Amino acid sequence: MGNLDLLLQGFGDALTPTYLLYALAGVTIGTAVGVLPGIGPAMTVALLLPITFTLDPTGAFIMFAGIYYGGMYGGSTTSILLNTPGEASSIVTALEGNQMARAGRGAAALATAAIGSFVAGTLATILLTLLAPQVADLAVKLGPQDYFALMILAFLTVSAVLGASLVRGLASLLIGLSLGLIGIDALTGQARLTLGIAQLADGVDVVVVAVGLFAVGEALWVSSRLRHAPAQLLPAAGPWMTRDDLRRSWKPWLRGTALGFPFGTLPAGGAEIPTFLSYATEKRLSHHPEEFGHGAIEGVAGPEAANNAAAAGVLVPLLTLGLPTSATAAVLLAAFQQYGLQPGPALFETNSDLVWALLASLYIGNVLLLVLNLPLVGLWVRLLRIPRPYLYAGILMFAALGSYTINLSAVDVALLFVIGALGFVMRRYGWPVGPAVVGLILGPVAEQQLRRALAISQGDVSTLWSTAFSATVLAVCAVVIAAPLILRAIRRSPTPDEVHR
Amino acid sequence: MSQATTDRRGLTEILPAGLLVLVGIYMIVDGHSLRTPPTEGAIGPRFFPYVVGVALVVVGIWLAVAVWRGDRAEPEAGEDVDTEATTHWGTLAALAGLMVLYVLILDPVGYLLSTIGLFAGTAYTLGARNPRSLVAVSLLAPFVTFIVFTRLLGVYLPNGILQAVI
Repeated sequence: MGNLDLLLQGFGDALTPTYLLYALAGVTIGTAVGVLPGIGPAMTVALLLPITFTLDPTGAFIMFAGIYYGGMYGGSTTSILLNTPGEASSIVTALEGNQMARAGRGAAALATAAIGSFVAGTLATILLTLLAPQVADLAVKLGPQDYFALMILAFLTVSAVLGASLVRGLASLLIGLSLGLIGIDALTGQARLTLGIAQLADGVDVVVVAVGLFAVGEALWVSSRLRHAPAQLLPAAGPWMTRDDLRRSWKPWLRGTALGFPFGTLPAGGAEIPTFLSYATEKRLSHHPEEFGHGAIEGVAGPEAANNAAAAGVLVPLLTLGLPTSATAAVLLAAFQQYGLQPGPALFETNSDLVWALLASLYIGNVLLLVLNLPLVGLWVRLLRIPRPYLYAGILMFAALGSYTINLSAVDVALLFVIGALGFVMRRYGWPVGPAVVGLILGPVAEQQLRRALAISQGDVSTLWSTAFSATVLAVCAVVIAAPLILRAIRRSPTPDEVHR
Repeated sequence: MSQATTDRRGLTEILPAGLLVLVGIYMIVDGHSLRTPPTEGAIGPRFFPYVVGVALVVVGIWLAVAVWRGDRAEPEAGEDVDTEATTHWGTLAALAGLMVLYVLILDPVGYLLSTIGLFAGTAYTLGARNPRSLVAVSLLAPFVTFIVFTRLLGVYLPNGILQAVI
């Protein structure tokens, strides 16, 4: 019961007026920025990092938890009411939610998304609270070779899952790893890849890269082919959820949670896969399969729940192992590092107060978000009308501000814009940017663990698969590499025939 | 849009793929200049640059070959992206110019004035043409940000030539 006491103590911390205010500010800003078109959750967190720099760590992370969950809620509003699909993880919500809004049932779609997010978010946060301390207890026993194997797995799955093309995912990952190598080598004090530029000796700041790739890259990409007629905005019209809607929604909420949470905890790219799975499940189980594609409420309820449950699930490996499994989690990890905190099993020992206050604030944030989203949805919808030139000018302004405040140096702003240009090129050719951020953050840690493992074994490479855990994880890695190749080989052989008929 | 033109347009992806190969080679060369102290055991500071460098070369060539054979990925979608449009190079050039200018004047001229310039320039480039709202928003947004960050959050931002006034 020790954990329950710790959680109650966390609530005690998180419910103080100051922290409650931070939580409220976090969810409000998170929702507002998440609603803005073109801004996904990863970009929301990256852009808002500088706001929290002046707070104490606990306050900052309470605010972050709010921004993180708020960004998830806000995204659904965008995908339901704008008649163009946004980023990949909200495509599924857009499928049915958009159709519902077109049929004049926008209000019901928004309501089932918001309540589903609340139900899933709360259940998943309970699971997180139960699971995380257990995982942390196990993780304490892991050696450097185990961590190294886990990171290889994360590299592979993130490259394979985020984005449609494996080779482009790997290219993005390697860009991140290269950026991570820049700077003074921690163990020998030698400069690597600094091109003789003094400011690069400390390495490239993760926040600058994340903001550059997500915010500036996106702004440049959108600017290069901006719609001249802005996307049509559908009204949040129609009756609120009816009794029938509720009857049809509650099971998808629960099933979505059950799919989303475990997938979130795996190093497999976060929310995209479970939302697709949830959609497929609901379509199969529905009594009204003919409505799918024309605005079936189950198709909004399930994936939205899965999305939010996955968001909580992602926090399990992040907090207990220091392993980010999605782009957003990678940015959150960067936030921890800004405060000199390294998420991992030790965090539960050394910063127990902070961790439990953070977990408690997740519950509070969910309640606040339900309150903010149900009655106030009309207010958020207005944000969708912001004229695009001002929106993207504002994104650039904020991105530059954030990078400047890290070291109070215009060099970082220059670096930001250079990385933004890189982000533009990557978007232009469909290279996913998520793996780059994960590679940048995990690369140096992976190198450290590898060198530590080999130093302990005095250079014996077999140490890398010497424990049952590391051997299992590396075997999974092999499957991850081999499976698509085998599948492709099987699929390729019969196709030419089929095409001709 | 015919298949042939799409294919030819996508071929420019070979350029970034080639760049990966070059970066990889540079990384191997740079890694070669590092010294491994005897205390470091097996691999030392060279190992990771070597691995990443070789991987960059391999993936770069792999990607270039795939592109040559007609492999294309969807460019990223987005709410405001017109997937039918071609790249507006003029817009990008103007934004790049604004960014370079911003980096150069940020410290000497000060945060407020340079940011007003960046904001107004970006908004105008992206099509904000109503003079009254362009001026109002471009003055207001940077000003509010400046006040919130310097006065409320206590972040330092350069005053520049407005030093005497602010």
